[in-house]
Amino acid sequence: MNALIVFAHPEPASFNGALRDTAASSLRSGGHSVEISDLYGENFDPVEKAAHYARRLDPQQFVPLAEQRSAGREGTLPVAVRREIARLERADLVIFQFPLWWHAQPAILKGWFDRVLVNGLLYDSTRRYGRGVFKGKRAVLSVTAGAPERSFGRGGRGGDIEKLLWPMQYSLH
Amino acid sequence: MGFSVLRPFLSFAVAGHGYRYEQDADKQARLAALRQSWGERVGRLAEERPLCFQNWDDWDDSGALKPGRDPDLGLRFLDPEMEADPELRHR
Repeated sequence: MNALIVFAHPEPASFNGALRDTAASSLRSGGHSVEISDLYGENFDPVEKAAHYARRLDPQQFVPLAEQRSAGREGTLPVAVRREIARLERADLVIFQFPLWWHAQPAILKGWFDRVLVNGLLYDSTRRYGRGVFKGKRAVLSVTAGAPERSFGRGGRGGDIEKLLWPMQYSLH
Repeated sequence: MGFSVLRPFLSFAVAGHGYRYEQDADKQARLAALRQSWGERVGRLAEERPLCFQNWDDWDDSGALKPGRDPDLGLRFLDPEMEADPELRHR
């Protein structure tokens, strides 16, 4: 099995980093290959913007999804996006390792979704969910939170963890 | 996107910025246990049963949920009984 760990914490020596290393070690000891996408370490730019597209479909107005579709079709997607897509295509299992910040994933990881999951190439209105291009692959979130577990129950002070993680999990589904 | 999404691995109370919920020794022991638990679980991820979400058969042509379908699928991953029992998941 080929595993990809998408790591989104700015400190390699953090507990998130320890969980990343634990997962990688466990997988490798089981005979699996592991690739790590270190979003901070590789300086991934999470901001989708016109400057990423050298050959614009419409130089007058930036329509992100239209530019994604065009660049995907023409083979002119940004290098970092192509690198991440290739990693996804090689992977049978994708682990997202990140801390919960402001009731969600860090912005760098949200931006990874915005930029890497390219409209037209990796999904469209009919190729999603049970008909998605990554059908057969597995994904799991490994999430750290500062507050205790009891505060993340329904109505808890930290927010309902089942609802907080729904956007990411549903996007992957 | 088509992924089979597995139950998340959650590590709570890992704050390293001054908040203290327990003695340092207790915290270190708990974090070590979390790492061990994650390492063991990672080895079994290929066999785990994915979470259940709405899918194409659950929606009508406009994208609305069909009558009688569960609007909360994918929102109850903390309830192992709910995720393990297909009858409960499709109540």
